[in-house]
Amino acid sequence: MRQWVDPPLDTQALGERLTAAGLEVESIDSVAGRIEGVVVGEIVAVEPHPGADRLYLCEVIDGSGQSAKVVCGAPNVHSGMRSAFARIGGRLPDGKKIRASRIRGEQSQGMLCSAVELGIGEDADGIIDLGRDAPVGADLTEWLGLDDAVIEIGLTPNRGDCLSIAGIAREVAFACGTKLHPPAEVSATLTATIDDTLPIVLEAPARCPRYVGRIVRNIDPGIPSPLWICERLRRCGVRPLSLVVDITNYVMLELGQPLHAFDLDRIDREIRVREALEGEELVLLDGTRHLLDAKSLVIADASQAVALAGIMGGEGSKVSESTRNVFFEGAWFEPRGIALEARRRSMHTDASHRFERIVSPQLQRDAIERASALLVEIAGGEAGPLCEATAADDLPGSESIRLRSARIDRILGTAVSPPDVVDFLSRLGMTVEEIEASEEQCVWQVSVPPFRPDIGTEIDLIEEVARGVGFDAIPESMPRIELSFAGVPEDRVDEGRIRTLLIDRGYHEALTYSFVDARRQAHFSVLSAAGAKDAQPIPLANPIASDMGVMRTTMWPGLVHAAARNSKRQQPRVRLFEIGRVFFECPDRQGETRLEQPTMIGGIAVGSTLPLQWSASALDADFHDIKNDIEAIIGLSGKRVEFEQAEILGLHPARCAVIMHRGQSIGRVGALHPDLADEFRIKGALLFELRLDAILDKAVPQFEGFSRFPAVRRDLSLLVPETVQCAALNARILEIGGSLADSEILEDVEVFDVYQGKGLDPGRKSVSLRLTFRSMTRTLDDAEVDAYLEKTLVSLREDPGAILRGDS
Amino acid sequence: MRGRSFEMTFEMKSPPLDALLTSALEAIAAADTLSELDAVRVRFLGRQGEITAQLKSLGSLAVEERPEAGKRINDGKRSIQASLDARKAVLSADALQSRLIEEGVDITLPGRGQRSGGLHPVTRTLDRICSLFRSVGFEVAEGPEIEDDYYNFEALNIPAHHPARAMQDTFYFPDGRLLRTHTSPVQIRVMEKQSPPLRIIAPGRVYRSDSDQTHTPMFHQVEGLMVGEDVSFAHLKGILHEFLRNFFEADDLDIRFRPSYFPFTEPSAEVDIRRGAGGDWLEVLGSGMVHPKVLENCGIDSERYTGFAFGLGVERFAMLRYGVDDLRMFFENDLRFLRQFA
Repeated sequence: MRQWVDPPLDTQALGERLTAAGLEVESIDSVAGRIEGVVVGEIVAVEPHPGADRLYLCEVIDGSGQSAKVVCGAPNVHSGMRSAFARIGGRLPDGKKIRASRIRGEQSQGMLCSAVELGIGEDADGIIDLGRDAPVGADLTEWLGLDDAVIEIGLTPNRGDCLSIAGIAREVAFACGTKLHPPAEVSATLTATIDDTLPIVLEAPARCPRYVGRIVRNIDPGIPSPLWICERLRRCGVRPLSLVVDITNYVMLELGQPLHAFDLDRIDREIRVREALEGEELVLLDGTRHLLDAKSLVIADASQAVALAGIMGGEGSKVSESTRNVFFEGAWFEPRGIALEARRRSMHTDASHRFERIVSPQLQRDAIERASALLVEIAGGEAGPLCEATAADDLPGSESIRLRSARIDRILGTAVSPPDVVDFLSRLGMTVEEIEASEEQCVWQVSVPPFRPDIGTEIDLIEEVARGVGFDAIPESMPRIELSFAGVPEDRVDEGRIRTLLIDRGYHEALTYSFVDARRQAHFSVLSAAGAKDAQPIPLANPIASDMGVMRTTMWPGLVHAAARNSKRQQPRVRLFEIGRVFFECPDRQGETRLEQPTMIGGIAVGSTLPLQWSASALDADFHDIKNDIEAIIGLSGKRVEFEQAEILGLHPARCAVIMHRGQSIGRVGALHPDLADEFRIKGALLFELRLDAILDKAVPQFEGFSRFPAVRRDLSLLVPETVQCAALNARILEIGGSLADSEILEDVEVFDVYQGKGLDPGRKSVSLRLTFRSMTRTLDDAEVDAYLEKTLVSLREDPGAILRGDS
Repeated sequence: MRGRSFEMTFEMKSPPLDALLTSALEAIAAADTLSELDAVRVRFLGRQGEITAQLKSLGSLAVEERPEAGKRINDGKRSIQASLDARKAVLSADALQSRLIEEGVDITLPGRGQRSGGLHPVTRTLDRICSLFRSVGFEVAEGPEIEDDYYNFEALNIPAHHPARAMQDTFYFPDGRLLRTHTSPVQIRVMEKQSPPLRIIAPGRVYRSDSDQTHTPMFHQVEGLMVGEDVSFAHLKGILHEFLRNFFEADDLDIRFRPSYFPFTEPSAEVDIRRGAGGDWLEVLGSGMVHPKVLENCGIDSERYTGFAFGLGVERFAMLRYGVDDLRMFFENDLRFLRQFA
């Protein structure tokens, strides 16, 4: 990179500068570990080791004037080879020091190293072959440029132009204010020495408006990639393969234009860029077979598809070890098409990555020139002229954008001087023409270079100006706003209040995943105001795991799972609640499916009512303990609700209830069905769930007068059939009261004991009630209360057959 | 009988009053319990008591001696009574004290009753963030978690082919709807309904198909949005810096704005923080000026109004604030974890 632009900064400072300019430096690593005393050595003689079959005795010269005897086990060692020679006293990246030693009785004065041992490659099969041109005695680190650093940049998807050394170099020049000087060989052209071309036909110009190619004939097929290309590819994370492929990759990394090379002899007469035929098949370089259709764009010859455009070449036309005649391709593909095709086929290649992010439409000729020049330089051969087909109307043009200084200042909140604006944009390769200049503002017309297709509007330019100023140099200020009161609605229950209430009642807040295991969810039903039976859970199309496959329709599967997990971890008492959404689909009144995602308050309690303590009942919490918690929550909204018996999937059939408010079910509560205890590995759990929206509104208090006269209390123990529910008994007493002349004197009825068992008829239970009587207008006397009570008892004996206890 | 015994007593020459007084005071002082003290009272002041006897014997004195003698006896009686009262007060207090001590409890036993639970650290963090923004006039807004492609992507300037979609691994439903990948759709929903000036903050769950030590498929974000006639990048910097300083309650907080890319803001910035000059930069926020296209998508005149938006990961803030080192802890709901934030 420093061959392109060389700012007077060390690598660390350069990294900071790039980050500040928006190219986030994720890491900076040396290309190799610490290597000392390793030089280019030539093996002048190889003999078998007398004491070991697989070892050789080598004589190595290293430019010091003396030769060294080295024992080596590499199968590829041969006389005349130049390799990495670690002298005695030298050091390898793994910390190993080289010492003189004896191996199976033979002296070894140093070591011949493999790429792995040098920490620069994966090839451990033999010692590294540095090639005939490696200067014997040269320091390896220096000669291979191993004191280089690799800067890894996390690139945002708008900056496709920075997916190359050229692009990064432009940014460095911009960020550091340094001049860009691309090496001369990058832009050198190669004069054609033969006339061969291939006809190119653009059948789908909207998807491929430019295709440039070139034939290179008679290259030497045996020539490997020079070490410098391999090294640079390796440092960019690309594995060297063969010369032609390495050159296409090298040029792509250098300039940003993906290239492809075909074996010319396997191309039938011409290049057609066309949509694939329905049912056409293509085997790609990675061996995968693809069935194509008209949505796929292919490169084809006169008879068949030879490459999946912009994504990967075909197996049938690939260059091989014997390829002598090459056809290079450099094209511009419409990014959207490439993105959709790559995603559809789950293929993500270096080429598709770049095409998706928009390659400059002016880069193709330069890239082909560069690649063919490299190939001819290294492997000989004759190049034909560039052949090109372009559909100019379908190529993106270059943008010309109006930019106003006042707008810059308003967006950024600081004044940027017009000369600075011009300077920043010019450094990015833009042409800035002033078209208006007044006291208030300057207006410019800015032409954007083709390598910045991400810039299309004024705001894009303002961002570039902001980068030029430096985000850190933009001042901070607090906005000024007009004072206005935020409303404090008194008829709303604060969600935080509900949380606090549950916390004070011993619950911990949990957060569980919104997607759950479909199988576990199937144990429960949906609480739906409309009609629970028709509500359907919603599966994810692409769940991350099978136990996170459907959206929860109730809070319970997640809470039960969390409680079970805690029980397993020796927590005997677990109380958890969660406020969050559930999701289901159900038909609306018109019969159309409607998505619902209401917020629920869910809770679970396992274990004793109170934490273990020295003087309190250690009884496990039961239905009524949890009911009290729910009543407290609902109490915040001041609403009157009824608990009605119901069948609720997943709950104990005789210990559960739906909570009704004005005919709507707003919640439910109950004990986990014993059958599910095994499934969830939890015992004695109590569950509840409430619709948050049903309890968020409340009435603002309105004062009501109360009586100043004393109350008269009467306690009754009634024997009633065991099937009579307390709520029904209460209601009956009020109903009877309503039929009496002085009904208004009954103020309250409270249950204070329920008993069933020893000493009572098996079919009966005793319910103790406290009745409070009071008048708004006078002090009641015992006689009138007794008379009232007498009438009530008579009616209660008829319905529901209640007898005063001890009165039978 | 009665007369005789009087006489006898008199004849026996009752002890002089002074000696009687002395022996009474000694007896009072010697009484250790309330019942002993009462016996002393009976002995001297009772109906048959020695002082009483003296009073009764007054009749035997000469008429002219009687007032003088009566006064002396009554003085003695008052003095004894006073001593008795004083002694009684002391003994009562002692008795009460010892009775109370017998009623003592082991005050080291723990208090009885329910023990409070606690807020989840994510909620706790969300509450703090929302409170801070409320205090400068932002309102809380909410939106659905199952979203349309339009609100999650399209309206935010992320068209279908856009590579930015690959930045966020989206959970989809068979009908094409999706789980929101960020809280940014709430921006759109608010801007569609309300006109500037706008100051909102939108907390909530978001989902991305990603799971490892630093990613959970569900997490929480807070989205902030301010739109007005002169809202600038400088304001964005000011608000976020003040917010971060207040959230972390640290004056030595370094903050860095770094150019980045989000399709719905431009210029876009990522915000890094660090504590103390030598520390590592930690990325905590994404932000930027609302893209004019996004404003226009919501029917807001982008020439007249400008705005900033930002989004932050709540779990990240909770981790930094409370020193939690494993993201997955937040969703395991282990009581030993939850109790630490009660």
